[in-house]
Amino acid sequence: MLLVILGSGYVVYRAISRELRVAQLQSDFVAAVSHEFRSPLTTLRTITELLAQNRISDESRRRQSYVFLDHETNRLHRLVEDLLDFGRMESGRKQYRFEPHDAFDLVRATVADFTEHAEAQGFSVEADLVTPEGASASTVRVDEEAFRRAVRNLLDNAVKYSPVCRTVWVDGTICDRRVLISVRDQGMGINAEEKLAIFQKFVRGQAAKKAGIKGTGIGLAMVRQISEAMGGEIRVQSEVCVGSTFTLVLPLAED
Amino acid sequence: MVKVLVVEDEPGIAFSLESDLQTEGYEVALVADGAEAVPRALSQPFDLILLDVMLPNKDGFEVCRELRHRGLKTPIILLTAKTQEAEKVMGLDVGADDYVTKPFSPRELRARIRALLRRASPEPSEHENAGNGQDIHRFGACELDLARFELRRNGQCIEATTTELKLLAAFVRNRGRLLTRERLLDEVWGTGIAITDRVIDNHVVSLRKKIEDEPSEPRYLISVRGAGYRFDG
Repeated sequence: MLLVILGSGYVVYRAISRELRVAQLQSDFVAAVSHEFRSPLTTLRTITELLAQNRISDESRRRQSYVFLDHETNRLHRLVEDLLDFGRMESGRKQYRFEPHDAFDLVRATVADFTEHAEAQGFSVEADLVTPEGASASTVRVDEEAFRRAVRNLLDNAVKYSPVCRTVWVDGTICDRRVLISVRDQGMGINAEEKLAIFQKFVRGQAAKKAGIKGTGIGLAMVRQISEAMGGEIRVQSEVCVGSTFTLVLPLAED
Repeated sequence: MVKVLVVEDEPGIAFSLESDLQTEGYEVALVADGAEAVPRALSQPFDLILLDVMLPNKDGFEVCRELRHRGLKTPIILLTAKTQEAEKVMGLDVGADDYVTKPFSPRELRARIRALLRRASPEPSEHENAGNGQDIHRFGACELDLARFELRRNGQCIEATTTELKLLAAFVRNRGRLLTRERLLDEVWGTGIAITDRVIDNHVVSLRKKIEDEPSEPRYLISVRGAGYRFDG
């Protein structure tokens, strides 16, 4: 009898602990999203008000103001799109348009789009996408927009979590009828206990949070959702203070 | 010149704060990293610190606590995206003097800055001023006597309203610096008073008639287009 009571108590305790942890993650997520919205909104509000009141009289600073307004509007747009899309992915309502694409071409295009953003923060991106001799073309059946978003999220993370080294490497190859796309950084890395958890929604690495690096905790969860929807997977190799390599693995399209 | 240290890692917010505070006539230094904020704040005297909470490497609460621990008395306003009461209380408990929640209005922030600066360095009272040689400010043929609170021109007392004298005193105190209408409103009428810009302009026109040789081409009370006025006395 005593054993049954103790056993039941333990089960209840485990369940409550899990619920509390989920509640804490959700609370952290709400706080992070709130912050992610408030920062660009603050820039928009302050610069708009200053321009309206003619408090930015220098012409070059006025021009710079418009660049900030454009940048922050796009940032808000991306944030809203990410949150809405992630909600659709979670509920299984996301509609993908799978079509054959050359994976390396899509990666090159994504890197090209990303480079301006990276260079503005002092980063360079080195891409090395190689189709081995004898291998077929790197054609995969993917939703172009979702694929590019997954690669973009990995690039964003590589820059965000690299406080010292200012280079990000993108490697691509084909092996066993699969395309492997790796995004590598020499950043802060992830400890062993957190490696699996970071693909869960709302989960963020402790070191990143402690370092004050901002984020919502849905970027990698989206990458996992997208890669699985395309019949692939996402892998990570990482060492604290050495760096991380995230590899997107996708099956080649059938001929 | 009032020196303000802005600790903010969001480039857009840092840019707008810098622009606005410089328009206000303040000297601005920018820092984007929490770990750099403490040595920077201690490296030279600042009149006020605007401190973001979520910063890389060291958060604003920690920076604030450390600065107070090291004995820095400079007024600190926290800029926070956090809206929970507990976080606001924590900010004040670690030594901040005020906090502003993002997204904030630049106008409100300016008012809070002025209020804190006033509290940090209160103007000498009339009693303290009495007998002080700096009570009399001369420019051209005019003299503003703050102890007697009168304006003289060529030694003759000129009739001026209390508001005009207060306005002129504000200009004299900030000789050579741009004073926005907003700031004049705050310095002369005080906060919470509803006065239009037009009222300030009318008082300036009236003052010019009393102190300028050619009021239509002022030499002392200079209009700064789109911003306010500057006293070049």
